[in-house]
Amino acid sequence: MRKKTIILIYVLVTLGPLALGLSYSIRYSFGLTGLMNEGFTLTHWIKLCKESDALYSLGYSAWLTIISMLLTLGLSLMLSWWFVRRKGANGLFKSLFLPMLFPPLVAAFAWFYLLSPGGIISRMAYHLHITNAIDDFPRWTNDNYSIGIVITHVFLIFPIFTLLFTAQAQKERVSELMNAALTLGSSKIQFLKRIYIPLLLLKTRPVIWLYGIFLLGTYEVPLLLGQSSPRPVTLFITDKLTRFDLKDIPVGHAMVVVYTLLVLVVIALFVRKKQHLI
Amino acid sequence: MIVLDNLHKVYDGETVLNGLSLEVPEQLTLSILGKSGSGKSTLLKIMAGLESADSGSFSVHGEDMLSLVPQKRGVVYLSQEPLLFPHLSVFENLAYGLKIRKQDKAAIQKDVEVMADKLGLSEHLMKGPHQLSGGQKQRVSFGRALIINPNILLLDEPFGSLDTQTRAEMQSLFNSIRKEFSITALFVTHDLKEALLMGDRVAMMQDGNLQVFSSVEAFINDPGSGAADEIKFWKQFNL
Amino acid sequence: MKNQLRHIVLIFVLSPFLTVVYLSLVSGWSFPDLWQANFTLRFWKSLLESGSGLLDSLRLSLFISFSIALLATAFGFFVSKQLMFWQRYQALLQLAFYPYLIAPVILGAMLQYYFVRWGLTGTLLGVFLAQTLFVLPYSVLLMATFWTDRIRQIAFQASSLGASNRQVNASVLFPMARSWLLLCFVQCFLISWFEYGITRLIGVGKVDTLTIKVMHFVQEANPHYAALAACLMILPLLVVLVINQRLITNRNPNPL
Repeated sequence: MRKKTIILIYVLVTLGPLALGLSYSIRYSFGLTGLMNEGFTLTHWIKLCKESDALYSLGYSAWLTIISMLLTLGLSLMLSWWFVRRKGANGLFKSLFLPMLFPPLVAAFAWFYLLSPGGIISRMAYHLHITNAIDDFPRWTNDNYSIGIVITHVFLIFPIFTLLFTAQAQKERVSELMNAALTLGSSKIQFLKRIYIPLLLLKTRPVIWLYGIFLLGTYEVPLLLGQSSPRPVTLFITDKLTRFDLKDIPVGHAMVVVYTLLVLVVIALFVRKKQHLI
Repeated sequence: MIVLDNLHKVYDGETVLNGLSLEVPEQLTLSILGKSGSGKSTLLKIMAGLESADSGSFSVHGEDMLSLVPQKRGVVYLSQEPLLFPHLSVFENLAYGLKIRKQDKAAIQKDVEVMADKLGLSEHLMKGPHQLSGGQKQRVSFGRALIINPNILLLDEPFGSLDTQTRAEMQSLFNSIRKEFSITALFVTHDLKEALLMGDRVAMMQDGNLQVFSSVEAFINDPGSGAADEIKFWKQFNL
Repeated sequence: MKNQLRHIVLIFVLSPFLTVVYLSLVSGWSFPDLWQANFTLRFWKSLLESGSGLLDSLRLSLFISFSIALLATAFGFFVSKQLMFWQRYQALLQLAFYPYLIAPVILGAMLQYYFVRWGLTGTLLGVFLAQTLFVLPYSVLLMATFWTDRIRQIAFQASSLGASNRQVNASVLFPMARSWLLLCFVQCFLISWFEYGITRLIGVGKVDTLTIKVMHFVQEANPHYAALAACLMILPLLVVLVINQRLITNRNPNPL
C-alpha cells in the first residue's frame, strides 16, 4: 500500500505539472480559455504558422543548438584524444572543471564583458594598437552571427564532453585499439577517422541528444548576448506570454505546445531507457 | 628470414632485453616460453613498432624494420585480448585492414567471406563483438590479421583467457591455418605444452636473452627447459 | 597537441573566471582603461553593509538551494527505491525525463497561470515549488543509478536475515548509498543555485536570489556589483570542487 502511494506520488510529481501546463497551453492556443477567449478557434495556430518570427525562432534555436554542438564535439574530441594519449597535462585537465562552476547567466555576463566592444579584449586590442577606437572592434555580442552565444555555450558544455569522451575512450581501451589498428596498417589519421571518432560518438549518442535538448531550451545566454531578433524559442515564448498585448498570449501558448511536443518526441525517440546518463 | 640482432631495452633502470639476437626462417612458428616479466611481450611490441628498442636491429628479408612506423611493417601483434573494434560488426572488423588499403568493395566482400568461412564465422558476420563468445572473438581477431597477409604474426598468449576446451580448439585451428597461409609467427606462451604444440621450434626467454633450441628434441633434453621434469611427472601415472 | 593550442584552451577556460574577479576589484572602469583602472576593495567591503542586499540574497539562495537539495535527495532516495523494486520500473523511470528536460522557463510559463491563481507568484514558496518541478525528477533519475542488482540482492539478503525495512535502510542501504546521497545533494543544490528563468518568472522580482541579483545589476549597467554577486555564486563551489572534485564533475545536470 505504502509502495503504491509512493509510486502514485512520483507519477503525479513527474507527469502532473506537465499535463496540467500542457493542457492549459493547448486550451489557450485553441481559444478555450484565457481572458479573451471566444470559444474554439484555429486563429492563433494559423497566426503562429503565418508569423515568420515564430518559424524563425524555431529555426534559430535549432541553428544555435547545431552549431554549438558541432564546435563542442570537435573541440572535445580533439582534447580527449590528447588526454588519452598523453598522460599528464594535469593542469589543463583540472582547469576544465572551472566552467562547471558557472551558472549560465554568470557565464554569459563574463563573456559579455570579455567580448563586447567596451569589453576586455577590445581594450587589449586598443592598447596593442590593433584598434584605434571603441567602434573599430567587431561586434561579437548581440551580433548577427550569435558569436557570443555560441562561445558561451561551448564554454559551458565542452568540459563535460571532454571528460565524457576521455572516460569513454579509457573504458574502450582506445590506446590498445590504436595499437591493434596500427599493426593492421592503419595510420593515426585513419584510426581517428574510422575508429576513434565514430566509436566515441556512437557510444555517447544519447548524451549528445540530451545536451541537444538542453541547448534547444537555452534561455539566459541569448537573453544577455542575443539580439531581439532573431531570438530563440524560449525568448519568443516568454516575450509573447508576458507582453501586454493580450492577443499575443494564445500564440505564445501555441508555441509552448510546439516546443514541448518537439522535446517529448526527441526524448521518446532518443533518450528513453538511458537513466544512467544522468 | 627474420633477423633480430643485439636488441637492448632498459625500463626504469631494469634491463628487459639484453643483447637479444634471433633468426627465424620464413613460414616457421617459433614458440617463446618464459615467466611473466621475462620480457617476452616487450620483444613482441618492439617488433610490432609499439615500443622502441634502445639499440640493436630488426630486419625482414633484409629490410630494416625499426625505422618504419608500425603501419608500414606488416607485423601484426595479437594479444590475449582480442581487441575488436566495438562499434564495428564482425564483417567490418575483418574488413578493416583491407578498407584501410582502399581495396575495392567486391574484393573485400569476397576476401572476408572466404576468411569467415575458414574460421567458422560465416553465420556471425553481421553480429557485433559483444554478441560473440571469447573463442569467436579471438577468431575474428585472427582473421582480421590474416586477411592482410602480414609478414609476421606476433601472438602474445593469444589463448590465455579461454577455457580449456576452447583453447584446444583454437590451438588446432591455428595450426591448420598457419600451414595453409604459410605464416611466419612468434608465439609467446608460459604453457610448456602449448609451446611444444604450436611451435616448429621452441625458445626460452631468460634474463633478457633468448635461448633457441635447434629442435623440439633438443628442447626436451635440455635440463634447463623443465620439459624433462614435466615428462617425468606425467610418466609416473603411466598414462 | 601543440603547446599553443593548449594555451588557447587554458585561456578560454580561465578568462571568464578572471574577468569576473577582475570586474569585482575595479571601479570607474571607462574605455580604454585596463591596467589603469582603479583597483579597489570597495565592492567587497560593501558586502558587509546593507545597501546592496547581496548578503541577504546569498542567505536566501543558500536557504532555497539547501532545502531543495535536502528535500530532493530524500525524495530521490525513497522514490527510486520503490521504483526500482517495481516490476516495470524502466517505463516509470522514463517519466522523470520529461519534466527534467523541458526548459525550466517554459515549464514555468506553462504553469504560471496556476501559480497566479493559487497566489504563489512572488512568494518564496512559489519559487521553491517551481524549482522542485524539475529538481525532484532529476534526483530520482540520479538515485536510480544506485539501485544495481547487487544492491537489491544485498537488501533482500538483509531482509531474509530478519532485518525490518527500517533496519535494512539504517544498517545496509544508507551506508552503501552515502556517496550517492552526497552526490545527489550537491547536484540538486547546483541546479537550484544556477537557476534563473523560472525563479524570475514565478518570483516576479520579489524573490531576490543571487542569479536575480546578477541580472538586476547587469540591467543597471553596474558590472562591478554584478561581478561581485557572480563571485559569491562561484567561489563557494570552487571550495567544494577543491575538497571533492567528483561531487561537481561526476554527473551532469542541465548546464544551460
